[in-house]
Amino acid sequence: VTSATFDRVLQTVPEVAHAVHLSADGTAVVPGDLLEVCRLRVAMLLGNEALLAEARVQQADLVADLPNWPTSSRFSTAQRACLALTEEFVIDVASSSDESLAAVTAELGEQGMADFVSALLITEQRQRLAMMWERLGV
Amino acid sequence: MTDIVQHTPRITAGVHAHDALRGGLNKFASAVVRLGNVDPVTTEIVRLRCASHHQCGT
Repeated sequence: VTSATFDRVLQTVPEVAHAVHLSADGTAVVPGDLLEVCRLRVAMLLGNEALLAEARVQQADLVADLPNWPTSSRFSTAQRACLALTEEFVIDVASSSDESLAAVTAELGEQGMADFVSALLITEQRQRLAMMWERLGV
Repeated sequence: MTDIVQHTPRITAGVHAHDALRGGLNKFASAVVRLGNVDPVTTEIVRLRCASHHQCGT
């Protein structure tokens, strides 16, 4: 979903629109490659076909390999750690494991883990909002 | 509803996400809370459900 979509849908609540953009800008704190693989994995788990169709145009191999992240040599240790946490986060955030958090912390440090979790939340929120709006036809 | 797993704190006190992330998230939450489009009862039910799901004790 584009920033223009958020502007259009949230045009009557500019304060919310501003905050949504601010949040999205903040995700630049996290290494782009890490967040991108997780963004795509979130899309797969949520069934965000619109985002995946877009991604397949530019990153077809990555999208095809992503379901195999536990074993594919394409993904770094840091990416695997973040993908494992991402899956738990999306499926049941309250049950995310200490082990998965520790693995991300081992790769990114504690500050990096805190940043990653917040960026992941923003990434997931944006997709859920976009999908809901699509289903509502707004 | 599934049982909530109770965790001990998993991040050192004083460690927070980068200001660029926290600032956006806080502004978003504040702006949404100030909206009045949804009736108060539904808003409160959702708020409590979210607090339970995210183990928020505040």
